[in-house]
Amino acid sequence: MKILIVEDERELAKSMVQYLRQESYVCETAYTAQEALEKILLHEYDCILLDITLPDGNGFTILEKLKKEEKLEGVIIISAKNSLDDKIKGLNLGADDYLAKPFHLSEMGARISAVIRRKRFDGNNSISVHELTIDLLGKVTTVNNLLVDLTRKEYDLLLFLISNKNRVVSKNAIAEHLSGDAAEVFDNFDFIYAHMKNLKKKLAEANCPDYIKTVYGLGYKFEA
Amino acid sequence: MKLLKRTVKNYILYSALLLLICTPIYYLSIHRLFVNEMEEELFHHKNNFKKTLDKLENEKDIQLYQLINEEFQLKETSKWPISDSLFTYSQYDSLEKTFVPYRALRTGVTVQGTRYELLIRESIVGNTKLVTAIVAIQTTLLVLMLIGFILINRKLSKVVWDPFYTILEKLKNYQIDKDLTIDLPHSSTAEFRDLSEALVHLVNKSRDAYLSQKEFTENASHELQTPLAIFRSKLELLMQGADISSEQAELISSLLNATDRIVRLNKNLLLLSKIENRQFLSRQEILLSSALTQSLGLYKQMAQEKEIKITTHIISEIAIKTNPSLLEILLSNLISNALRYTPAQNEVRIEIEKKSITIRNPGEPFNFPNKIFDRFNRESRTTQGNGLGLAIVKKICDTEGIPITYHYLQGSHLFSIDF
Repeated sequence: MKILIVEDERELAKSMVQYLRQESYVCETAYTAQEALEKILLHEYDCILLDITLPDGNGFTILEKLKKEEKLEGVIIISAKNSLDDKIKGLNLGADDYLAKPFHLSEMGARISAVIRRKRFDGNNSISVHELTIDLLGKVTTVNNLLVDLTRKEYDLLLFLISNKNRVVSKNAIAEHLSGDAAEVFDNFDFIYAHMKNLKKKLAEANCPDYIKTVYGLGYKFEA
Repeated sequence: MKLLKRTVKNYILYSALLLLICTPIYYLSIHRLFVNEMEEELFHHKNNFKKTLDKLENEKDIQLYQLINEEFQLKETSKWPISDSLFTYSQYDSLEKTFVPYRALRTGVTVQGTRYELLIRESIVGNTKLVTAIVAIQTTLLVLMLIGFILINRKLSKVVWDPFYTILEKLKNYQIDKDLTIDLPHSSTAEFRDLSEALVHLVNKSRDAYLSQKEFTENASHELQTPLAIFRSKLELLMQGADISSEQAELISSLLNATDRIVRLNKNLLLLSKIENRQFLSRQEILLSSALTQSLGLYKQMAQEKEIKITTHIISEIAIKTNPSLLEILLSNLISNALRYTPAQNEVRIEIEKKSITIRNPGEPFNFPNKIFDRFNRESRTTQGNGLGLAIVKKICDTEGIPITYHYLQGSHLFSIDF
């Protein structure tokens, strides 16, 4: 799986590469719009992470170029502006998703995995980890072909962890992924523990091995 | 009090005072002058009489003289000598049917060897008549003077003060967050011209300061996003390490929580300055109840976790024309605020009626109810809130021109918005 990261902030680009390499992704970076255009024309990518504000140009022009060349890989726009106009403009130009800085790397991981799945399998797809299978279209989870009845939050939680397989996902990232801004209402992450407890219990009852490891004080990790 | 009124009031007071003091003085001096003149006249009469004494030969002549000169009275007397004396007395006048005051001179004369008491008198004009005349004249003068003052003042205020009132009106209508510059009239009066120039200078300086402060907040928030993204990403990478001790895990966790708070704070500051800078311009007709349902959807889970029941009562449907994002932020912040301060196992009640929405939730009274809409005024430092939620609510209401009120009633917080 090949990913292009177009980001002028080298340290951020480095972090993104480092995080994605832990999974089976092959990453390339471009620090300028020029560099990005060259790479796009030469190579095929499964996903492009595109920062809108670049020193030598606007990310939107790259997006337009991609559209013209009919090379619309899964593009995720990254912006520090978090403006609705940018988001709408980007999506209208053919981008698949929009990620506002500062984002959690695990959130980025989940978005990339979703975009790639959509592109590869035309939306009709599923994820399998040994006996565990998630049908993304029907939002149905099965263990050894037996249905596990998960709530919406438990399903989202499981998918988020699998999308960041073998990496520690922080409680903070989970809370934001599950509840967005509403997570602010809570003074602690107790509600995540409750969901996690139920999810683990349901999977165990379905004879699924305990893939979800608790990383003390930090978060969780789906190990497989 | 208006400038015109104040001036006229002072004029009236001064004139009335002048009238009160001057009338008696005026009256007394005129009276004095009058009486003096009369006394001189009386002595003059007496001297004239003495000159004619030789011509009066007998009693008959004397009586004739008296008849011709009404003011003379001669009486034989035994008292002698009679010194000259002046006095005032009143006598009933049967013709005018009133007492007439007289000023008289009593003296003694010898006519052909007979001693007579001579009384020469002159009637004085009645005091009251004099006073009335003087007061009438003075009052007329005063009234004429005042009418003059008012007319001149009105004319002056129209012509001379006109630029002042124009400046005042323009200043009242000036809004630093909406208007670009202020256009003040150029008066020919030096003071008003100076005033205009000073005000234009002041307004421009304030506006510059306001703009740069506004831009600063937005730029600073934008610029912070990238370093925050780097910081957060490095923490997440640090977390991936295989051999992290529990102490290290705790440190990383604290850092992650602090980062979350900075990120939220920065996001809200950016939002606040975006609202201030009017970056939410598009307008759309939205059904309030459906906007509410959408916002509530985000908090349903949270409410369940906290065992708080949210009930909505839609008494009448209303559609409002506003920016959809702003409306969503407004409702979400109010719901989030209500959930934050509602104790577990309680109810948040939301009501839409006529043109207003009311959010009511039980809770302890706020310590500073007057400051709840201020930035960074958080009731309790232990909560995760960043003290900007209600400031954002207020800012949205202000820019959209919709009034919001807060009350604490029977143990409940009540926020009402009238669209």
